[in-house]
Amino acid sequence: MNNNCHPIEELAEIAELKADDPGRRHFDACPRCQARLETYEEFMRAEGECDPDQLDKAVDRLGAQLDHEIFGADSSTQEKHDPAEQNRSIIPFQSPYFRSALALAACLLLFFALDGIWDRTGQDSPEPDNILLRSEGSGPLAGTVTLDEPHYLADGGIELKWQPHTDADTYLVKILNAQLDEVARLPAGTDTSLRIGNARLHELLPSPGSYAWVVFALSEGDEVARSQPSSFRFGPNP
Amino acid sequence: MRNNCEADRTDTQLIRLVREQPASRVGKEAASRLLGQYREHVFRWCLSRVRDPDLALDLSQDVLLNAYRKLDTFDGRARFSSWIFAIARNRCLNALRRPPLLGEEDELDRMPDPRVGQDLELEQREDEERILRLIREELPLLDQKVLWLRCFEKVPVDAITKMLHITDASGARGVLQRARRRLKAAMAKQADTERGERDE
Repeated sequence: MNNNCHPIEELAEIAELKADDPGRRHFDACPRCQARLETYEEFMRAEGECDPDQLDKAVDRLGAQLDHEIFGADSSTQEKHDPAEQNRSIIPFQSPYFRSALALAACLLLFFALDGIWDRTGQDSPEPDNILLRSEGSGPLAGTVTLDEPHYLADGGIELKWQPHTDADTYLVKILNAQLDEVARLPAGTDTSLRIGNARLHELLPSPGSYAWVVFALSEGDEVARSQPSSFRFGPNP
Repeated sequence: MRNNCEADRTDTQLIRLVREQPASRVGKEAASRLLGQYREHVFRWCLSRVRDPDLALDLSQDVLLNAYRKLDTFDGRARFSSWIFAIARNRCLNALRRPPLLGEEDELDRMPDPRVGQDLELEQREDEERILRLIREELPLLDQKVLWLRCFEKVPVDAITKMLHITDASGARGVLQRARRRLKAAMAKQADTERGERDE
């Protein structure tokens, strides 16, 4: 509780030092630093009482404001989830899993067929609307990214892995719904794997069911290769 | 709730993308995801402090937009989560009145609304320097922590009870009352001592 107090930004790392580390001597004796660390930990737990509807609305609104700030006029093109639309798509007498899996299979077939036709004709196609068929950036493609089988985690999450691409400096993973619309994009940096915990999946995906994932290999932001889409399952909360 | 290690790793990767390609689509997507991950943390935390959903939303918006605008000043020495937390904390502290160090909790409700930012830094007040020293020297650790959380971090009493796992029926309120009684007694004792020294 004096001038030796640590800046709040450093407290988390100081608290993780070993008990005998001289760096934490002040922290161990200072109720002020300890109290401030408690508030940071409370922030990270994100479990303050809150009406779920209120929270959802606030989070959506903050997301829209952030996107407007970051993307400017482009933000209107960011795809948003409409919970009402999702609810309408559920037919009570049919399993939603079965239905979405069927739709995904049909879309994948269509995609491969179209891809094959374009490859055979060698024609330049107009920039398509579907996210799967659209390039990231403007560079010519130099091969594909090979995906490994998705690994399902014990907590209900998933680990996605792929083989490195020689021309890539970063990777981007897109998750698509049964209609092959993009529902999430996850920059993976230079890693060739992405681990998504169960809680994060629930944040990202509108409902349990079958989804597809595609990896884009990027070089300086431009796509140099991409994978074929591959499906994975996302189950309900245990 | 995010796993801290996983969050740090993801944050670091995203920050790298933002730095390397700030104007590109990928850089912007990374910034959107980086800050988007903290929307719930920031909103919940602001709400827990101000207890007003509309104000909490306004504050959260300020925090996130400020963090985005100042992203280039983040030097990477601390964790990103600590950095954005510091922004949220400062913004909320500025929006709240400081509870009295020595008065009763109810006094807070009777105090007029001050202008935002009217709270002076405690360390700038000479008389409070003396109180700070007494807190440090005379109060048990738990009392000190509770006083700090309530008076300087402006944490609501019920949140302190939960945070410090205080199991007494009166919770943090009881600890605060005890701490203030002890503090007043210590101040009275000190005043007596000073008076005695002057008389001699």
